[in-house]
Formats: sequence, structure tokens, C-alpha cells
Amino acid sequence: MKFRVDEISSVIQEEIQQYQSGVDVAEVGRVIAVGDGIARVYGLSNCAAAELVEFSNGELGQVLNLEENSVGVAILGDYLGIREGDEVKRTGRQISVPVGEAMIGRVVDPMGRPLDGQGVIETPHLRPLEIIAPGIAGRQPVTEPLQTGIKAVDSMIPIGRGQRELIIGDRKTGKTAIALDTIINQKGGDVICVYVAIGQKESTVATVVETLRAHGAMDYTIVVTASSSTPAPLQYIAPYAGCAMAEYFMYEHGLPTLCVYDDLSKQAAAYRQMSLLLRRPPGREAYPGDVFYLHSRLLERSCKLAERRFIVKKGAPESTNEGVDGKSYLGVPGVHESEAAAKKIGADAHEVRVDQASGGSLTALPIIETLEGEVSAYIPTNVISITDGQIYLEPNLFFAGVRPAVNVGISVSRVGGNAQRKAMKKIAGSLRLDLAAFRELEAFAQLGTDLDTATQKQLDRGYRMVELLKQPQFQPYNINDQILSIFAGTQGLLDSIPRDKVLDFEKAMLKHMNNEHPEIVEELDKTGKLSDELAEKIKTLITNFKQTYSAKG
Amino acid sequence: MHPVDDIGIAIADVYAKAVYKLASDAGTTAPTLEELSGLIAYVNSTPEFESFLVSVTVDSDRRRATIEKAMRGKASDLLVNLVQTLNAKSRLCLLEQVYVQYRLANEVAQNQAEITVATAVPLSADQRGPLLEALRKYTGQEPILTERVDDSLIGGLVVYIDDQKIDFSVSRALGGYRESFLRRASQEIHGKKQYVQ
Repeated sequence: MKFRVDEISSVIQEEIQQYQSGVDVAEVGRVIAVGDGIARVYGLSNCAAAELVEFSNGELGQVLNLEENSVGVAILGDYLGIREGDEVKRTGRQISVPVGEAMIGRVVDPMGRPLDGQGVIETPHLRPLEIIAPGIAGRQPVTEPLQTGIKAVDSMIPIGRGQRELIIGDRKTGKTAIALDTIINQKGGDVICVYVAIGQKESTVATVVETLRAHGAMDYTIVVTASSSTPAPLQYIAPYAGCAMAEYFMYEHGLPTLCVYDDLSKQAAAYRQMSLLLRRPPGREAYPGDVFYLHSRLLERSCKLAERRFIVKKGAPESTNEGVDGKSYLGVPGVHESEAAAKKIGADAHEVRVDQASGGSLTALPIIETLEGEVSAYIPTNVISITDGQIYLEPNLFFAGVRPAVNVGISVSRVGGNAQRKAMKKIAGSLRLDLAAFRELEAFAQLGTDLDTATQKQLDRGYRMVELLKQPQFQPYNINDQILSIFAGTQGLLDSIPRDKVLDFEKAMLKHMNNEHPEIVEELDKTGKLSDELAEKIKTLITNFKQTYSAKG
Repeated sequence: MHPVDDIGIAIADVYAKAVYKLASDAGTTAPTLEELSGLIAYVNSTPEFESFLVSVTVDSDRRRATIEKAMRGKASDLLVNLVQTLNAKSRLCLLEQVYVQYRLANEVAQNQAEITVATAVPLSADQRGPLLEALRKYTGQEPILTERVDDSLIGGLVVYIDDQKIDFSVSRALGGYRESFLRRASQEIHGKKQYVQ
């Protein structure tokens, strides 16, 4: 091996010749106290709230408190190298993170620095960490489904693109598993996923990354991690960083995105630590007064963006993104306005086109960990009130083998119903209420009283539905398979199948339907609806299959 | 004396402005500043006296009598009265900050600016003159220069005016080279450029 000294030398020479050594004028302050990730800095009298500052050892900080003679700075990195008297320089900018296609498949810290040992991330794009969420005019209603691949969720608690659905439950109840299943289920689709790990063990994050990689999900996923060993300020900014990375695809490319914040209770704890060290007054559970805004401003950034329409001449190139009348028409009202305008200009020669970079969405799956099922604690109630529904996971169900351990009684999706496939909506409409009624009946039946036939039948149906909704981890179901399974259950076609054989039967039935009757799946895909004729046909096919299945024993 | 927080600074400022007004009316702003400076230097060099002034275990009446005996007639009445007022209000711990705020008020009134200049080697008289002139022109104020030698600068100088830092040092220029080399190297490594045969 021989170094090309001449070339290295010429590079250095070139750099020296090109280097512009002007005068560096900066506004500086001095550290007067530092500890636990927070520095108090004297000076910096003109700096703005949330401005980025640079310490003399190269670490960055965010200005959080502006006081009369000093500022409180959250140190975004290793604070042990910062000493009293060190110089702190204003940068004049807010925190921005690198975003773009180059981030996909990478594991980064909240500042966008790579942590996966796969080299530097070269991206020309940056986005500010904090932006004001789009207003009413910039949004449109949530109408498209975001399939999680989990039968219990897609049937009873459907999630729409642009929705914020909270996953809440005690430790070890399968919260992360639901989020990961949802990410894995996006394989082959156009959804870009961001998984933000906050305050978790490095080993857990490594397992998550490996799981995603093993299922091919890293091809469309970015992992942002601020583990429990990371200073509190980085844990505090991690969800905003992940959100900014997802927003790039939503705003610039009009793509649907999914952001998982795992979990926001740890982010709130990190923010509490910072606030107490900054001597902000503690409120309930020692959280600062603005802890609600901490989460509301983050989750409000999830949305389904309005589509932008414009009128072009028929046959105009695909790259055209300006209207002939110089106008653009936004959202649902824009549909009618653009059509009327096109008619006015001349419907024969013009057409309405949708801007491909508009109409993106950001679906948020925030996770909250409760203590001993206490959903009425401060942070859980805050996030429940901000989100558009919650998936509540219960330890009792989890340990009884019902996995995912979704408590359907108190889980809800407030906007997802509009986004649910018509076919699924038709068959699973009353499933949630039926299951909740079954739970009550089940408790009553345990008393050992004699039951009438109707009640016993209802119980048998309930037991089978519970079995049917069980699903192993990392095995997402296609929506059509889900429709066929749930249909079989709700129509009582599984009533004669022994409880321990339900999942086995379901597997065989789906295989049979997909292989022998692909026209059913095709029609479901094509229309999205379950007509009475189709329902009758499916019923007959499943009944026939049941006879073969029973005969096989 | 102990460091003072923002509230302490604000309180000290009230006392300092009041004293400055009285000194200004009497035409003794400069001698009062000198007296205050001397008193603070003495307090800082005599820990026993500092303890006597700030300790909560010393009875305030006894302290008043001792201050009266030790200072009256030896310092101006204005200074002695200031110390007595601070004692009566249990604010003697702010004495040094009162001096700082007084000095700042005086600088504003005199159109002066405290400027610190850091150099790798001590400034010569030939260098100091033009530098002062340049600073006078730049700030529009009369500079009160504090010189500091910092050999890590290698050459050139760094000027501090309030929160502003103007860096002409050689070390900064070298840092700039380092950054530009690193940036280029990172790009070229990423672009798989080979510097070995």
C-alpha cells in the first residue's frame, strides 16, 4: 500500500488557497453553572428562545429560559466536558435536523447523527425541529385506512392516515409489538415509517432494529433513538426530530408517513427533569405547567394534508404544477371550486390535476406506559385527550394468552371509522360491542349457574371470536384475509369448531380461499365492499370447506 | 463574596443607582467609585472582615456600631451611610454587586465601555495606541481596556465588547482549516475516493 502523497499535498494546498479567513464576529456568553444536562450562561443578551448555541468544546445547546442576566441552556450532548467559565456562542438559528431519502434505513440520534456505523449521512435537506402544525385550511378529513395487519385493531379500532392513535398499557403488555407489527405491515406499500425510541434500553432498541431488518422493514423506516443513557435534553427533542424527518416526506413528496413515539411518558419524565433543573415551578406530579403543550404541539403535527388542485391544458406535461389561471384549489372545497373554474375556462380543453406533492399524511402512534393500569394519571389523561382514540392493552388479558391484549371495551378510534374499508365496517360493525357484552357474560357464567341455550350460544360465539382475534407477533394479516376471518366468526361459521382449533381452521380456510377461490379476494380488492351476493357466496364456500376440514379431522 | 443571582443583581442595581444619584448631585462620582473599589478590595483580601459583614450570627446593632467606629471619618459619609443602610436592610452580602452596578452606571454616564483584549503575547505600547483608537472608533465610546495574555491563540487577538466577541486569532484560522479538511475528507471518503495505491 502506497499513499499518493502528491495528491494529498495538492489537496491541502488547494484548501489553504481557497480558505477565506475573515474576522469572526459572534455574540458570546460564559457558563456560570453546569450540571445534569443544564447550563446557566451569563451574557447572550440578544439570544432568542429555543435558539441553538454552541459551547467551546463543540457541543450544542438549546436556550430554554431567558432571564434578566442569564439564560438557561439544555445541553444537547455530553455535558461532562463543559466547565464553568467556558465560552458559549450564539448561532442565530433554531435546531434543524437532516432529513431526506438518505435517512431511510438508518439509525440516528435526535440530531440526525448516524448511530449504526454505516458511515456519514449525506443529505442536502434540513428541517426545523419545531414547526407550527398546519391549520384547518391545510388539512382534509381522515378517510384512507392505515392497515396495521392486526385483526383486533383493523376490525374494531381502525386507524386512518393522518390519525393520532394512542397505544396505552402497563409495562410488558405488547405496546411496542403493535407498533412494530404496524410498521412491518407497511411492506410493499408507500408509507414511510419513523420509529422514535425514547428512554429505552440500548439492547431493546437493538432488538427492534434487528426485528425490522429481519422483516425487511428497514427499507422504508428511519429509527431515531435517544436511549436511557442519553442526556434528558436529547430525549426531550427526539419525538420532534422523528416528526420532522417524517414531515419531509409528507410535505415535499405528498407521501403517507407513520411515526411511532415509543414512549411519550419517558419524554415527559425527561422534560420534567430539565424543567426542575431550570427551576421552573413544578405542578401536578412535579411536571411543569406546559407539559400538556409539550405533547399537544407534537401530536397536532400529525395530519392528512389537503390536496392541491390546479387547472392545466389537456395533455400538459406531468411536471406542470402551475394552474393556467394562476390559482390553486385546496382541500375538499377545492374539488368543487376547481371543477367549476375548469368549466368556466373551457372544460373541453382543460382538466383539473392534483399536485402529487400534496395530500401527504402523518399518522402518529404515540405510546404511553401506565403504572398499575392507572390511566387517570396526569400524562395518560393528557395524551388521551389530545389523540383521536386509544388502544388499551391489559395485563390480565396478556397473561391469559389473549395477544394482542386489547381491551376492546375501553379502546376506541374516534375518526378511523370513516377510513375503514366498507366490507370490514359491515362485518365488524357490532363486533366491539358484542365482545364487550361477552366479557360481562363470561364473568357471570363463571358463577356456575345453569345457562339457557341462547346464552350458551352467545358464550360459545364469544370464546371463538376471542380465539380468532389472537394473533402471533410479526405476522400481519392482509386486509382481505382479515375480512374473511372476521366474517367467518361473526356469521357463526366457527361455532362448531373446537376452541383450540379455531386458529388452525382459520389458517387452513384462508389458504383454501386464496388458492382455490382467488376471485373472491379480487372482488374484495376491486370493490372494497361486501355485497349481499358476495357475502352469501363466501358463506357457502366456507361452509363447504368446513365439511372437508371436519372430515380430515 | 458569594455569587449573586438575577434577583440579587436587580436589588443591587437599585442601591447602586441611588448612590450614584447622590454622588452625582454632590459631584463625587469618581471619588466614590474609588472608595467603593478600595473597600471591595479590602473585603476580598480579608476573609475575617467579609465574614463579619455577611455572617448572620453577628448582631446587626453591634455590626452597625463597629462600622460606625471603624469607618466614620475615614471614608466619605456617603459610603459609610451606604454600608449602614445595607446592614440595616440585611443586604451587606450584595455590597460587591452594588459596586459592580455602580461602576456600570458610571461607565454609561461617562460613555465608557469595558473591553477585554486577549493576545498571545503582551501588547506593546506601539500596538496599544492604534488599538485603542480603533476601538474608540468602532464602539463610539471611551474604551476601558483589560488586557489578557492567552498563548493558545498563537497569534492575532480577540476582542470582547459586552457579549460580542471579535476573533482575529491564528488559532481560529487554523481551526477553520481543520474543519474544511475534515469536511472535504468526509465527502471524499463517502464518495469512495482513494488516496492509496
